[in-house]
Amino acid sequence: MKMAPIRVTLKTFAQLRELRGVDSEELELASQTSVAQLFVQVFGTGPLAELPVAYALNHALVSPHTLLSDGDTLVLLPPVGGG
Amino acid sequence: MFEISPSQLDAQRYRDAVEHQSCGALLVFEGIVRDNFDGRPVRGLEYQAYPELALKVMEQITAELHRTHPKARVAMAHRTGTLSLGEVSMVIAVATPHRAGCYDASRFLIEALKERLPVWKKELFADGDSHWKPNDPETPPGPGSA
Repeated sequence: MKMAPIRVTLKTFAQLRELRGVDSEELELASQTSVAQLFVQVFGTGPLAELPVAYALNHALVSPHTLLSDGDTLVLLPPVGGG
Repeated sequence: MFEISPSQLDAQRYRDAVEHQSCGALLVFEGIVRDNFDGRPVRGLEYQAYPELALKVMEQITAELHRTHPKARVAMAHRTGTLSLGEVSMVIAVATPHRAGCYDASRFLIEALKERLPVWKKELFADGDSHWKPNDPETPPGPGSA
């Protein structure tokens, strides 16, 4: 049985935000999509795939294998540079 | 007191927040926008922050400090937006009973924030070029370490 797609809010920062051109966007994805798979779907498998990105799901850090659910907010965090 | 702010940071506010009669030592660390990166002229910095997580990270780092310095009083803030040379990008105020613990705590907090705070910095060079600059990965000293 085919699962219904899910809708997820994606937020990005720094160079990833500049590539997307928006702070935040809604995406429709296949169910059982992991946060790392979403990254590849959005940014591809080119040089950016080497970027050590961290993932925050609903404002808490999660592993790349975490599966997304309908209504989730996922934030992609490139290497930080505060201070 | 933990803040992510688009407005100018007033270090005195954070100093006053940690001052206490139980603490005989108090340090205020200010990060300031300097005029070059490795000798290349810089005209300013742009910061983005993820406040929902950044405030949690500040709380977590303070909780880690409290394992070894339970009486430390901490206030921290980071700026967002475009900053000119000389502007304050970050303030860390810490007060402890004694001076050794205060230096130790202040160093631990800045190193932990540089490694883990979800804030991003774009260097705006004087020649018009710019790029997002991650912090160098370093192992921060733990509180109480030499």
